[in-house]
Amino acid sequence: MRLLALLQEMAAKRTNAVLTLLGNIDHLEAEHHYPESSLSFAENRWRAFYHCHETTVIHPKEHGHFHIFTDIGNRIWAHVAGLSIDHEGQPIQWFTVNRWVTDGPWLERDTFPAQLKHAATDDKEGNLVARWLVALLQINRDALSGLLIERDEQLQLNLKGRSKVEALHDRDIYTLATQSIDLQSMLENHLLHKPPRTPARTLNV
Amino acid sequence: MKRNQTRIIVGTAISAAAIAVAVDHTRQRLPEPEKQLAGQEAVIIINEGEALPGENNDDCVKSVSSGRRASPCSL
Repeated sequence: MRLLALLQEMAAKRTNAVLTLLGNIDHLEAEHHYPESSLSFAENRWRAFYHCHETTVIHPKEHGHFHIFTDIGNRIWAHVAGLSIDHEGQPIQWFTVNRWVTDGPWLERDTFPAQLKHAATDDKEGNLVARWLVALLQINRDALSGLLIERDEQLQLNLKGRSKVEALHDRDIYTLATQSIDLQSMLENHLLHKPPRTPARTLNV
Repeated sequence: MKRNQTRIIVGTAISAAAIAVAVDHTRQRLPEPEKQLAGQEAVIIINEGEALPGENNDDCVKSVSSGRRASPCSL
């Protein structure tokens, strides 16, 4: 319900999360982080930024993506997931990447549910994009837990006799797991209890 | 008098149509990204006897952009 209310708020302004985040910028620059110092939310326990790559394509219909991080203690930020956005500002896919892509510590998947509880304390009057991200994270809690499991399984499959640390720095491994998003189906499932259209789950290396 | 002939349903009705409208109205074209601007060239004036930049300290040469090349999606 919360996500729908946020979408209705954006719909009334004929905007979406990315356009809201970009504001009135003159030029959208590839590789640049928006906002530059990242978006802090959930009492500064979560951070995110949006960017577009010049060359790397995570999804064929992608315009750019959010990277979402969580504070695992002492202001050490671990990457949780990426969120691909299409050219009309719609979320189309969650993804996880290898450690070298985002740097920082590797998020232990078992800590994710507890980390997400912190996001639940988000201020209702806070930034619209932050509230939209929190709502998406919460409604996809199970899917994201599954994604992190697949991330770890995929990494394990690619050890090939190496240590985990070596594999985490292997630049031939970029995306580890993806999970498609059908926003309308997701909302219908949660609010109207319609069975979801089965999302395609793929593993990419 | 039949009390239950009419019922007033209080609340917000959520329908598939309402969801579709909300999602559809947020479909707004995003601006196309432009290529990353090339690093700005700068003229560095070095006084006689001063060390060249980066000559004595490799850390000074490390830039944010090189950090992002190493980890393109880091915070």
